[in-house]
Amino acid sequence: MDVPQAILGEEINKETESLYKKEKKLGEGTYAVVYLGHHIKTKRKVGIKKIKLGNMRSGLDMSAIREVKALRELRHPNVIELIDVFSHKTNLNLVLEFLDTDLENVIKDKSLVFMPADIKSWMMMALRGLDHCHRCWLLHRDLKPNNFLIASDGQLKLADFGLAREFGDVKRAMTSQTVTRWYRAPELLLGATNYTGSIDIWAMGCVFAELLLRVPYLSGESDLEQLTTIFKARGTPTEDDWPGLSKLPMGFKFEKHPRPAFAELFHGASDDALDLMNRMLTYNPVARITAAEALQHPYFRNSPRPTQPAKLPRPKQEYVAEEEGLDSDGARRKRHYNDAFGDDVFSDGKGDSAVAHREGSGHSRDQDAQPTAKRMDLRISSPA
Amino acid sequence: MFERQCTDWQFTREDLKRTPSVSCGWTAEREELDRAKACSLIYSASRKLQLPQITSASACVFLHRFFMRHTLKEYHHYNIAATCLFFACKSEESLRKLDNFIPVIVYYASKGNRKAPPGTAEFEKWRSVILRTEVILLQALCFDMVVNHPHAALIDLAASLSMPQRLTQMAWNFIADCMRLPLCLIYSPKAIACASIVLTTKVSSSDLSRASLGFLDFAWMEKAKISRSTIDEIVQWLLDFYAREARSRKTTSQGVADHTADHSHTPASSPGSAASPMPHVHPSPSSDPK
Ligand SMILES: Nc1ncnc2c1ncn2[C@@H]1O[C@H](COP(=O)(O)OP(=O)(O)O)[C@@H](O)[C@H]1O
Repeated sequence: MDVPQAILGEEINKETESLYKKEKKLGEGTYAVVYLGHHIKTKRKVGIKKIKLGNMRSGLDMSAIREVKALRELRHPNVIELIDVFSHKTNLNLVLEFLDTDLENVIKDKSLVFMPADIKSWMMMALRGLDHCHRCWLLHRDLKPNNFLIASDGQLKLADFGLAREFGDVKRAMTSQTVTRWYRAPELLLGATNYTGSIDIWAMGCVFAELLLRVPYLSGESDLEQLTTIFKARGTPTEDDWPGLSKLPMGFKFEKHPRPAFAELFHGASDDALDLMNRMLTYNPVARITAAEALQHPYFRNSPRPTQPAKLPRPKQEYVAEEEGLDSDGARRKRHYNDAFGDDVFSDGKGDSAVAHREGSGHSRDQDAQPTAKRMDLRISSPA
Repeated sequence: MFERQCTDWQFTREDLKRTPSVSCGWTAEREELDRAKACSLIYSASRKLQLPQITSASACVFLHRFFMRHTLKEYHHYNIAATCLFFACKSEESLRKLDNFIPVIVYYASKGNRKAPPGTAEFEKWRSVILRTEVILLQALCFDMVVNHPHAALIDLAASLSMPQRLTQMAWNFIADCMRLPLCLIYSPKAIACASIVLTTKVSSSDLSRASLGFLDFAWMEKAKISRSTIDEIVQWLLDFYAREARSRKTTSQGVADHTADHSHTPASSPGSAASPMPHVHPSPSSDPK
């Protein structure tokens, strides 16, 4: 007689927990505290992201669920690896690959000099990671320099998927309050709720500009000022630049700023770099370049060739190196963005936006895992 | 890591005869019925809460998976139904507040006999059960919350077969009934979609000219690489289940014909059987041990 071979969730969970040893606090984010730890047997260093207890009125934290769901689907050299998950009482713990530093630290370390080839290398890795997300029908929705973590071998990895969600359905209204303000696309600032991967591209364009300038490019103090900042920097858009502009919820009455000559601000940047950046910062979200297209842009083919990740500049001070003052460092690096995430009710319907092109950049090392499902296809309502 | 066997959700029909619940005294039939009642609760509550079909379907899959790891003895099926639906609301991005969620669950779980507005003891009892069970559920699922459903497969098949809208709708409703059975543990989403189409053609043959339907020759199934016997198995299982359920209910006849006629024109209330009177067991969160 067969003994029922019930595998108890709790047992597996305990077993998982026992595989790792937590060492010390690395940093603190909006909804999580991150610890340094290691896999006891293999000694592999890991980051253990302990989700702060959600409010007891609604149970497990939505951001944590999003992050686990997204990261379990994504496997890519330029996306942070989720190694394991376990719960402890009502806390969720995400075991992530350990990453030494992030792009914000790199940009802010004024002792580092960036060569054009370095910037190209970071952009290439970032776009590859993003392209993979978009092909898996996932929007990151919170791209900014400190969400691009950097491994000890120089590989750049997209991280912090607490706002990530599926897209592909134009009828599902999403919140327009996503993405830290400075990296927020104009359509979001104008209240659009039917956005696609183009919002991540805008943010990526801002990061590109920041790599060139070494300071945030579009740093508005408020949402309204953010738009003014964008318009001053990039010229006020017209209905010609952006068909449908006047139909966005916030209406459109802004002072007219001329489109400045970008070459002046970004002196030293090559024409192909500026062209790509401008395509990423195109007002009309439909006309904005996609991640897959961006990877095909001449910028990545022209010389100089992107720097090998291992040879990229990196800050001397890294998390691990700091024995003391980790907590204050964590506090300093704590993000202050307004966590204005507020999705509530979504209708369901079938959408048809598409970002799913093959990348095809000849020397791609991407181990593209196929998405387990075309997310879009699941977003269907009753056929009536 | 995740590759550990814990996220292998592929079972056989034999496995269903030796589930944790069966090992502690449930008969396989009773377990099937309890699972189905739980899924009916999921569907009724989903309708009231205007949740997307994908959310209810995911909740059912979570429930079937949960009871491959835990017993009905320890976890009342209604408690798990409520928790699975609440969790599916999160994982499918269709969040509902517990303040709205719990009263609906209590209403349908008690056949409309009880009310649990926020602030009442009944509400608090449910809240603590759902929140406590949520973590246990997630552990049992090994944090695996991505589910593929037959619905997408049906849409593809219907398009390639140029199925009339009305029949697609009927097949869609059969899928909702399929979700109530642990079919998702055994068959692929595509096989279930195929079976629902076959079932549709069976029950609609009286009022539709068979000859006018190009998809009745089943040649398409070969293309879909689903064996005829697999489909027959699913169809038979569903038909047996309808019969058993009708007997156990001992109320007015609720045959298959009724059933499809019922939802062919009311897409919103698709799971016909879920709309039927609720079971007699009164779900009390206090029946949950611990
Ligand atoms: N995988 C990791 N490896 C090492 N350190 C990490 C890792 N993930 C996060 N951290 C550190 O923990 C801090 C908080 O993380 P998190 O909550 O993800 O980010 P955020 O600061 O964007 O809210 C980060 O700023 C970083 O210092």
